[in-house]
Amino acid sequence: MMLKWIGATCVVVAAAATGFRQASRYARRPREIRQVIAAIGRLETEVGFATTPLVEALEAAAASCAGPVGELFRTAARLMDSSPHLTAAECFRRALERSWRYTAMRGAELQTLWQMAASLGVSDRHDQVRHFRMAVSRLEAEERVAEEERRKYEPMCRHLGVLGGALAAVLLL
Amino acid sequence: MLDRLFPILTGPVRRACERMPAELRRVAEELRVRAERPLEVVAAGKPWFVSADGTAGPHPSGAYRPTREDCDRLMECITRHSLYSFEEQMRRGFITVAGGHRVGLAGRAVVENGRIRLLRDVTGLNFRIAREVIGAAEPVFSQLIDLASESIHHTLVLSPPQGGKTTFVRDLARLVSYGRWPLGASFGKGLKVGIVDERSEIAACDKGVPAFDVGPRTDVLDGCPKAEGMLMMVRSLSPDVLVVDEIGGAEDAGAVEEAAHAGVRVVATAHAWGVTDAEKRPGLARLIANRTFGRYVVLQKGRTAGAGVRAVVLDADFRPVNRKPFLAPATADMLLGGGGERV
Repeated sequence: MMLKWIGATCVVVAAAATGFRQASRYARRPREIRQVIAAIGRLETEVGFATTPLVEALEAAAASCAGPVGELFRTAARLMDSSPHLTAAECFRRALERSWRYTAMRGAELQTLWQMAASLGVSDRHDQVRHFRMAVSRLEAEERVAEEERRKYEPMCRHLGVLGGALAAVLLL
Repeated sequence: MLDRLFPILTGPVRRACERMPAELRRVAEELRVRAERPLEVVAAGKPWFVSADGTAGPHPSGAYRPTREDCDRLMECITRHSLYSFEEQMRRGFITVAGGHRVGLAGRAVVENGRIRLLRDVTGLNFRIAREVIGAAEPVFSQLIDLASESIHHTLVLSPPQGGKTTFVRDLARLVSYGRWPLGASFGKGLKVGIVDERSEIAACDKGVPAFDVGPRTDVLDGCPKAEGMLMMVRSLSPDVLVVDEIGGAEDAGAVEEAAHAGVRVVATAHAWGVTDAEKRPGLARLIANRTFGRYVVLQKGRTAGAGVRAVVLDADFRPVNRKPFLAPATADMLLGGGGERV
């Protein structure tokens, strides 16, 4: 009998944890998109105003945000500094490939950054800034969608997790 | 010293250069990369065509032909993935990279309102290897001294392109800044030197710190237009001696006069075969006619490899200050083939 109760508790906890994890992804996504927007804003200042070389500009952008987004920009800076045989676009895309799975962002954001990579370091200041602003405006649209989803699904996932676990426990008991 | 370019080279061009014979690499002066055309190294004034495995010969057949992609990768490498950082320089057709090397560019000019907006499709790169030659100005230093004012005369250094002018004034700035005065002219201290380094070739500043030794009492305005820079320096940094490279126009001449009137000694260089050639340029003609310069240093490269550089010093009346022009074999050798070893 005791064993059954322990088992039921485990089921509820496991289901709740799954629900909470999914909820946190919904919460992290808009936050990380805002971090990317801030990082690109920093890039725009460094490149457009101070004509800072890309490696240093990416490091400054990385320093302005924590977590996986900061790591993404830091990896891109490191790759560009150590790989003279690769183009800036190739370095940034490799950084995206390495770091993306640690973020909570999705395909649309990935595509925006992938496209932005193609313009890095190959044109004049005004053109660089223009590409950064295009990327930011696309990301802002995605951020609004992500925020809406967070409001709807974050509490729902938590509740579903706990209640689903409880239902399963009751059925098993 | 071709090896000094390796940090900014990449791909098959770098591999071909690395495999070249060591002796040829040591005396190389220029590396010329042209898309779909033979790779060329200039050493002692002669062209050598380099194949992919590093063998160099006087004939272009068999030489490695860099592709357009090689040129694109080289541009990414030398600009550190940041073409926009070099916009202003690219409009003038060259980039000065870390180490003070000047890379001349050939490509397609995009023109807007009659001005070059940018250079695209760069398919020609001419790497001019910068060399620091400690002691290049020593043999003629005593002839430039102005004992009465405990300084040096206003000096104009003349030579055709690649004649050693920048190397010379770099060393002159170093000597004056350290106060390495010749015997009989010991003023007891080094002077404050200001360098207006428009093309970052004299001091080759990297993030504001000179890569070459230009002396402890030297300030450098990096990448700053000459005329404006000279006036800024005179007003804010109170130099005793101002060093500027490649003057020619009326604006530059005006700034030289202003600085001279402010009591600052000016050391300038100009492209010319000699004083007569220099007088043909309106800006310089005015300065020469007004006897602004107390000394003229005319640099002439020897005809054969190993003959070094001759320096002839003239006073304001164009008379040789020393009847026999100096030819210091040790320094001449350093000017031609020395790799910048510090004395």
